[in-house]
Amino acid sequence: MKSFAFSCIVLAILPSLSTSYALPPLKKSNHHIFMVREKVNDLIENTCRNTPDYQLCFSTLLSDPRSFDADTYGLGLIIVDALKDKATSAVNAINRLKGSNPEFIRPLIKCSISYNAILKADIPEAIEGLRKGVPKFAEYGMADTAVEVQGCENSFKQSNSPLTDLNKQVYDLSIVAKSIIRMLL
Amino acid sequence: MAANRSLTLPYDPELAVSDAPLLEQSDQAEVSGSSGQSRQRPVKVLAGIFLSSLFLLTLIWTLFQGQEEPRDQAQMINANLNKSSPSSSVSPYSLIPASRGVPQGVSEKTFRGVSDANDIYPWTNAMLSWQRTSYHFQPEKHWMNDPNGPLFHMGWYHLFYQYNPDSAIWGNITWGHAVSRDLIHWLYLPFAMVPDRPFDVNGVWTGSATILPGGKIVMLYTGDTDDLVQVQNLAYPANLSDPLLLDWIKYPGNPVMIPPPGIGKKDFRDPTTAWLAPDGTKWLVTLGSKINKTGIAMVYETSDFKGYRLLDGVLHAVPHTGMWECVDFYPVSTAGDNGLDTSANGPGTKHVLKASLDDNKHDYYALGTYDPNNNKWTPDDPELDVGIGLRLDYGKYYASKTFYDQKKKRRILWGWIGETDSEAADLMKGWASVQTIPRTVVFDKKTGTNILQWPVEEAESLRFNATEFDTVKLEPGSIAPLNIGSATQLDIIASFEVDREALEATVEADVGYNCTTSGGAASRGKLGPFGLLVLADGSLSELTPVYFYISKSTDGSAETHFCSDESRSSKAPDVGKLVYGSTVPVLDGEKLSARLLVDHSVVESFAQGGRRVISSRVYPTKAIYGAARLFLFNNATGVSVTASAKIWHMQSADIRTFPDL
Repeated sequence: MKSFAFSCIVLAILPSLSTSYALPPLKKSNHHIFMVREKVNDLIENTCRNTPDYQLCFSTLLSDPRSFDADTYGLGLIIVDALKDKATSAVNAINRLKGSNPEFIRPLIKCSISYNAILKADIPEAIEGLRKGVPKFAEYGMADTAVEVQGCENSFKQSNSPLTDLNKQVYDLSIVAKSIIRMLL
Repeated sequence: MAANRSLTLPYDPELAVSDAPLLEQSDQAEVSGSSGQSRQRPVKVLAGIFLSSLFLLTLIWTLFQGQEEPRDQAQMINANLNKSSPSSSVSPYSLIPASRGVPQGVSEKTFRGVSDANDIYPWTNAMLSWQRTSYHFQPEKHWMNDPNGPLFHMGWYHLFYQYNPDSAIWGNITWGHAVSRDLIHWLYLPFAMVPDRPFDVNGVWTGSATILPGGKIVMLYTGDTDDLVQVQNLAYPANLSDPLLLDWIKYPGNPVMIPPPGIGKKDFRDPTTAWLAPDGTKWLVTLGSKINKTGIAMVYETSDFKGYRLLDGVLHAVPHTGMWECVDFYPVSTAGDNGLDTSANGPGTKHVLKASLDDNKHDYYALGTYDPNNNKWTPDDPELDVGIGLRLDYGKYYASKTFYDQKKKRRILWGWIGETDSEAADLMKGWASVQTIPRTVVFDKKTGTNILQWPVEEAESLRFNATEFDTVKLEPGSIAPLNIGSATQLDIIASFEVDREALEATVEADVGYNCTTSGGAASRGKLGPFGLLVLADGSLSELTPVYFYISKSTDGSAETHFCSDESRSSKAPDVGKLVYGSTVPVLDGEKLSARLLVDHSVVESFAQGGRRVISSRVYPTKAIYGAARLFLFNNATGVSVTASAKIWHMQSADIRTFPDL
């Protein structure tokens, strides 16, 4: 009974122990499941230090396992991907807000136009430019994203924009993406 | 930006996971429930087995948990970090949109130069359709960028161009194709090349044509391969006796050049026209790249355009200029007035080396001497080297390329003028980009330090209804309307004379003047600005000044600046509002002269016979159609100016599909 209880306790504790330490036999970086980073990837660190928003850059990259093996082009693509997610959320928010407040009718139309441009033009252009190694087009796309998102935010008068959080997140990511792309030029 | 060390380690999304609720409690209940009925000893074994499997499941599940929702975790943690360390958030984005001042973030000047994105402008169809040019080359719709492989063959000028058949943004790049008898009236042809081989499936990018003795044509172009590597490929016409050169064959042995050791797989593109090597049998071709931040031009040698040998060293390199795209390399005559074949060299020639800098999206050039025996080009003035000296065009202009026109013995220059409006507007209007009017390029024998660019003379065939204004006296702070009727398609030649006495009497004026930081034509100085207001409405709520500005230092030397001011070109906030320009050499006895080609949303401005050129994009909302006007102006405070102008209306070039193909 004691040994049983003991093994129960050990078995209960083991899961939490295993996530705190790297499991030695699996050195190959492909097996992310079993790997916990003791030391942050140098490229990620150096890249993010050179962006205007270290925290955002770092957390966005670290939360995407592709970042561990990526070159600078790849890191840029990860940020653009995160931006795409946020922009999609913004479009969903815009759709949910339709009909909620007559004061929002005009700004929401403008925001739809802006986010349409972001999703249909800016992001695809940034992805193309990064994938194919012609970063200037990626830079165009991210610079325009910042402009489009500001236009959307500022179309709400009297600072009552319901999209501020999402707009800010998209904006911040576009700035980080743009600065990473700059490093490739 | 100083890193906040507390944020670096030991951030780990999987650490957070151990706090996640575990499934095993309900599982355990189920397990003990189902096994509770059995007798004791088998229970122990069963319990042991179930617990071990539970352990494994738990382990795997908790680790997957960490994978599944990393972003939410990251945000949570990010938010917590923000709360605890309020320091490093450098996002300048203003969260209070009511503050209508220029948000800090925008003062960083987005690449497109939009200075005040307060709002997305409600563009109407009328405004957007007006923007299409009448006599500049552009496809019917969608995206265009670099001009490619320009050449003259069997009576036709050919233009190829980077084109996206699907959308108004860069992507899916094919080679568009158009032909013209006169470099002005263009006819669209089917695509010359599409991305359909492993060596160019990710993009049929920029390239150049070489015409061999006997008339054979070879085209070298960059392909982006299925592995996303940039390579150079060979193509040639399927039928050389087809004046339209409709069909092209890609050499099956492509690629013919792959990135050499030490050169990045994404830093190898845009081969030039080839020129004859000193031995008279082999050919040399150059393309740009970078090593760290040093821009370089490498040279390859070939005898058959299929096999290539990289020459030692580089043709030239300039530190801190970054990647050199669209390198161009050609001779100009220092003695004569004609253009020269790309293979010309020797006394009476200088060589122009040009690069498009990826870093700042500008085209730079320098004059120098080419030593083919040592594979070296040396600039006449190292302080004005490629990338740090003269620009071909001080406005919105990139990826330019020349070719030798053997029919009229001219060197002709093409350049891509992109958009400076928002992508949203480009999507709405369904197109983006135009090409410049082709320009002749000659050496400026008077200054000896620059080339001269001038619209090809065939452009003059579009002129009609000339109006002349002679010796219009402009007092300081005055505007003179030029009543010429419609003012959206114009060819203007204007000259300005500054009152000599006042000029000499002025001891010092605006020594540090710089077009780009000047604030435009609204900034008054003693000896400037003065010039033309194009695409202006009657009340001057929108206007595009193109002007001269003289600054003078105490030692008596004067500098003339030539600027194109977009800052008030449109009420719309989401368009470029930069002031472009530079100094321009003016020799003793010369009047100040400018030529402007106004074509809806494009203005090409040439100063002093083409010593400096500025291409602008403008997107007025009011000064369009019949409301657009033209004025002379003098906004200087200390000097009056006498202006003369000859203005022609310009017909449409009627660019359309080649009939009956």
